[in-house]
Amino acid sequence: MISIKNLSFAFKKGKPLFKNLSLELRPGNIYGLFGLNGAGKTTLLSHMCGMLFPDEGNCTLNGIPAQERSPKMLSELFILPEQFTLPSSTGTEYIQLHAPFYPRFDEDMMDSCISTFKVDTSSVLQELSYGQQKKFMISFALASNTPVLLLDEPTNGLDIPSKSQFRKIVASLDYSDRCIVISTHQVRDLGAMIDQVTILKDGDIVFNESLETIRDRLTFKKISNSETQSCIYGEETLGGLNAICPAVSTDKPDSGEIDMELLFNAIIEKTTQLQQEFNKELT
Amino acid sequence: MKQLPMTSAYSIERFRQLLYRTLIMNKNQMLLGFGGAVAGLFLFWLVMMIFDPNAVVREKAVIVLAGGTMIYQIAGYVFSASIFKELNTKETAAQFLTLPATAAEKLSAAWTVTYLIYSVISMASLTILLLLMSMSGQLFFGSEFLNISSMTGIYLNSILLFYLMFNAVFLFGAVFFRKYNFLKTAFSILLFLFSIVIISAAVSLLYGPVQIHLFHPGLLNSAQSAFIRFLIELLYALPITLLFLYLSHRWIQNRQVA
Repeated sequence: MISIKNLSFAFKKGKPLFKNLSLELRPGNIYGLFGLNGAGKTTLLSHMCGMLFPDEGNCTLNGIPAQERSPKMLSELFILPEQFTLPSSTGTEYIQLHAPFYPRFDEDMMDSCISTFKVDTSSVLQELSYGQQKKFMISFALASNTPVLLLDEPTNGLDIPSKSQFRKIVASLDYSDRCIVISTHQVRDLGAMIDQVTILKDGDIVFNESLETIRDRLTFKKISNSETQSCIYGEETLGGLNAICPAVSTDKPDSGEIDMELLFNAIIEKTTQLQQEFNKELT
Repeated sequence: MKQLPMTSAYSIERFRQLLYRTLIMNKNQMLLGFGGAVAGLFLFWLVMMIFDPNAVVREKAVIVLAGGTMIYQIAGYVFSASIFKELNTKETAAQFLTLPATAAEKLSAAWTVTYLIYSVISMASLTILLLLMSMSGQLFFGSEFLNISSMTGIYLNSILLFYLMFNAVFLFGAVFFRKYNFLKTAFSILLFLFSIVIISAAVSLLYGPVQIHLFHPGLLNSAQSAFIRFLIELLYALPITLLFLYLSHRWIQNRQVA
């Protein structure tokens, strides 16, 4: 679906942000794109939707180079940026103006999201609070029903009930033929709704694994300070360590619960060690 | 809701939807602009009539209309320079750049609004203004009804052609610059014209004054000479317009926003 091959890109000469970055995103997955501030998450999304052009390499959507920005390619993709300014039209007008460009736009879905989020579409969008605007745009993005949906920090600016509503709506989506990318640093908020963890670090994808594979390879458990030798990464907590250890056949079934924040920190801190763990042959 | 075809070729349906989008998104600006200009010019006319009721009414009407055509052009350039304002910030650029339509459709919708629709509404507004001046002149000052056709026809072709050319330049400025599009484009035009003057002056100093006689005015009547002048204007205005529309198209295609 989205194929990035050997992408290199720099905002300033001599300071490359990406160097030979490659990534394949397939339908039927919700990707969590994580990274530290400044890692290039938003820039990578901008390449996927053709707003930025690679210096080298390419980024294609179903074989069409994103930088061509052809109507066909753009109609199969919707990006919800982290920061946006909406026009001074009403929500209803906005839908009338933009929905016809998306062939699979689902009006029922739009109505349902709007009513769940309690957004007034008869109001001028610019007069709504930022949170309300965000909820309107999330509704539009989900209703666009595009095969590729790019969401940049979608829950920033949402109140706690709205974050939960957002998770419920996404969980109810049929995304068997869609690829959803959620870029965020709020690992705790969105960790539960993704099924693929993709981590950007130092201009490259250092980790791209499904939750299933992570569960197969790692165990997340609380250990005592004396047990650290068997673990890859640990963070001190009350009465011991929250740790990530290589999975062994004797692990209890409930040890499959993934602590997304711990995993993220582990990948950032112990990148090579974790990569080696995933490159090992399973016995 | 009717969905648009998603072909890579130019689509009239998408163009129409973009046109609708551009008009809706700029409707407040346009309504305020036209309303304000007509009201302002009408007030100016009333003030002139009240403070100098004995002067020739027609002369005053010509002054107001000349002001109107000047406002038409300057406000039009400001409008054209802001038509791609969505491209100027990363908060709005994604909505425009990722909207499923070709660069040619986006540009042609912007051109249609800033040239065709803007000119038609401007001319209609000037006609309404003239009618208002005529009626108020007759009602309150006892003046004759102003002959609309003889006044609006003067230089209209040249004004529209001049506006066609500079509208394309300002559309290019709207895509090319990322801030202060109108001021930067206007400054660039002034700089270009100033450099032409300097070069001409330098050539004149070196080789003596250059005189170009394209036609001898004495041999032609006023209608013929006006027509020939219009043709000459057309000869340089059209290529310049096409060049800047082409450049604008290329810039929209290649515009990147981080």
